Amino acid sequence: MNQDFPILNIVGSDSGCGSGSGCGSQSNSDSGCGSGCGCSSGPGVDSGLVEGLSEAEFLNSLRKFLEQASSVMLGAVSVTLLSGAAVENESSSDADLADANEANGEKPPVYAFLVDTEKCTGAGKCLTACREENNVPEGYARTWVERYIHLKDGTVIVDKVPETGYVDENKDTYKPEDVERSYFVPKLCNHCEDAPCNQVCPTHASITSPEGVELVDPDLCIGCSYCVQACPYGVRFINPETNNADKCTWCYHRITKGEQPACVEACPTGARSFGRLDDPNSEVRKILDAMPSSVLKEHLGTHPKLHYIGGLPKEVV
Amino acid sequence: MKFIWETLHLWILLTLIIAGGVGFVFVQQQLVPETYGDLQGRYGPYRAAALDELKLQPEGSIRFIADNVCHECHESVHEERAEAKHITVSCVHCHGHATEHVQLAKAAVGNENAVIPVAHIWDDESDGNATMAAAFAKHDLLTTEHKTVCLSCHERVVGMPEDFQSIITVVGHVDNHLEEQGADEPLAFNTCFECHSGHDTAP
Repeated sequence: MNQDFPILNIVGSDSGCGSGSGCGSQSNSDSGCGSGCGCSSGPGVDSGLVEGLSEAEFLNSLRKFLEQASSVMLGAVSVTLLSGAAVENESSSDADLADANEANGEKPPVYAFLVDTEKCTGAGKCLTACREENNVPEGYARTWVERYIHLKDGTVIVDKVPETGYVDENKDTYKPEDVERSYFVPKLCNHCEDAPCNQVCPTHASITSPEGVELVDPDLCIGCSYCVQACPYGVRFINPETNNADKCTWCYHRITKGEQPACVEACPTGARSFGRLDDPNSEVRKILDAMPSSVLKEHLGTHPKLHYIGGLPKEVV
Repeated sequence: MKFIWETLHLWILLTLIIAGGVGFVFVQQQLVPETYGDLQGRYGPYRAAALDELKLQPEGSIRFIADNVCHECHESVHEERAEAKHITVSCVHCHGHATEHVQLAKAAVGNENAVIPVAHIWDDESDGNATMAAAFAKHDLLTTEHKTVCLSCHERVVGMPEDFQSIITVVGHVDNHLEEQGADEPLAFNTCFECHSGHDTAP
């Protein structure tokens, strides 16, 4: 068994996975195969391709080694160890992900969603479009539009745009002369790079697609609503028809066919836009390069992919 | 033989452990969903087949038809709208859902007599159906309903950008807007299209 352990040391030092993570030095199979290697557990956005590959090789060789070991030892202990180790291996994520994408010969697109609050007129077309496109039950919403009204006496009123817009019976009663300023803020899933909702899911039903879109696997979701509580933006809900967690998917069925999400298509004023961030010629990339933008709750470190053009007032959370 | 007999309790234990291990692996294989672990997310493996399922149109939903789909057939409207302010307003908003309309129209390409439902939500003249040739004909949209369509965006509410063209209404009526614009007599249909146009750049 010992002859295999130098692999750990070599890869550990090669992969450069961390200042003093010490993953190579402790040579026993238990710590080597799993969480002992600290480099894999962190958000490895910055880990380059070479690191990713070497880590993948390391994991593959480790898996082979464990398979051989189990075939020799032939016992429940080793079998359990293998299955446990396999799961541990899987959770080291990025390496295998990069590996799989490498095999396909193409990098998955990186998307970003832009909202221009200065263009939003509160017509509510996006709300209807989203509901119909994704069959969202009445009373629930994957996207909504908040209206912030700063009155002259200093109070700030926040309400939600009705789906039909402010027509007839929904017409508001604020007098324009009392209002200092007012604006609409469309909200939807932020598709965070470090998504808290994804971390808490006990059944691995909360998934990040290769494109970085946060999705819910309807087969594995048990509707425990941990993710609903974990989401700092409140974009998730339990769909009463399916008893699954439900959320904005950026219209995954549309964007994977090269189309725009329904709310973006529906917006009559161009307040919402969506596009590829990795394409230097895309509209979204150009706007983000040229103009200042902000994200919601930046201090939480979730790294949202939903950007608001210009600065958001401090009242908007 | 004697050795085996004396260590029988160990062999039984070993057999049980092996049986347990095999049983565990068997049960695990049965319970783990297919394609689980084929792809990796940031926080662990997931069922790769879920992505393919989520790429399908959600059940019971109405597909939002983008403008470029409409413009494939309705080219003249595309040209008409090209310079219009309303180019950003989706066809579907005013003309209603066109999912079935598009499906049937695509299937009926080249067949002038194919019957396809009109996309317009308010056009009842043809019982919701029109031939391919008639579908290209200009439809009369002057009904009371389209005022609602226009006002769903252009009614002034608190929160709108200052420079957005909007009118203040009184319980859905546009009388003061007409007054402002100097309309000297009530319009025949009291509809927006008597002065404005949806497609081109008329004010």
